[in-house]
Amino acid sequence: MSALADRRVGEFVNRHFVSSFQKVATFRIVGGQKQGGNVATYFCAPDGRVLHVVPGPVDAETFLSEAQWVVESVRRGLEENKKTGTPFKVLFREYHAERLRQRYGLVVEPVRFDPDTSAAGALTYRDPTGRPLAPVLPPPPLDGPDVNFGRELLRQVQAAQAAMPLAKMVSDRAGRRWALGPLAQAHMLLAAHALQPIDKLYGTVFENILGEKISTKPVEIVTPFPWRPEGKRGEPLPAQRRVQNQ
Amino acid sequence: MLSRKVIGLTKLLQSQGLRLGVIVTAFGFALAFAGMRAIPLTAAQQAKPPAEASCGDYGTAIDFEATPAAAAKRAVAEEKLVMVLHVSGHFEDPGLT
Repeated sequence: MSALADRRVGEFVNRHFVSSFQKVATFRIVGGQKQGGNVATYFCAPDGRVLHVVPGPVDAETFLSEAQWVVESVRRGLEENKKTGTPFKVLFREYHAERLRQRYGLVVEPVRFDPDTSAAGALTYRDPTGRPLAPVLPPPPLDGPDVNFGRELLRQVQAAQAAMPLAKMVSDRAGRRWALGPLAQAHMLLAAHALQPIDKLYGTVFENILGEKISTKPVEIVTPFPWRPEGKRGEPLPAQRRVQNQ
Repeated sequence: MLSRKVIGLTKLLQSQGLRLGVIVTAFGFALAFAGMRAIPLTAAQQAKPPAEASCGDYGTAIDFEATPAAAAKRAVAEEKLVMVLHVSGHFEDPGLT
């Protein structure tokens, strides 16, 4: 609970965001060991389109830095949109590509259109509730290293990324392989899919970046805070109240 | 006789003056008290929580709404962005977030 319990994170998030949570997968206890159990933080526009995602647990500094980047980028995007008329979605994808280049020294071309992933037909596999499964979105191709980044700095960043949990090796167009940590993978994904609805992105984030299977089973634990009284002032949440009344 | 009248008038004026002084002082205190009340009231109004109170903080430093839909509704009203956590575990695990 290091990041979410941090006072500075709390102040900043409560000032600029309205927060909520959802349980999207579950974990099992096998032989006393917990399998699974993870978190992804989505920063969204009020209509549910994803501006940024922080996959997995991060420390308070990283969390605050990413949240601040989102707020600054939204302001910058709105100003630039007024000045140039470039769609906000395209600008935000460019910002993700820019951050990937500046922080990780790797270049991707932001995608300026939305590929059609909604090919839901009669042959589409659906979960027991009748919904099609969340699509797995392809990340944009990696062009290679930024020539202005510096060879030594790139080597250091690559070593740090490779040491991160959930790091993934990604090939660029020339076949060279680069290590990307979860946050770098998120920037790469969002350089192509930022401002997509959260229900299109969460499958890719949870399954491709965090490596967890999304559970379609009914959720038994409504809240991930079982040691706390449910809801405010110890009252049960509305869903639980309905269950109790039945 | 005249001196008695002067002394009596002086005493009357003094007592009235005292009363007047007391009234003026009390009025001054009342004004000052109202002024003192006015500042915190304004600050309290500025820091007034939103009309729709949050669901709880669940032991974190962040206030959570019950559902993402409720969060989105409040975000539109307050011109804020939305933060949604997708979880598959317990927050009691220090490594989770």
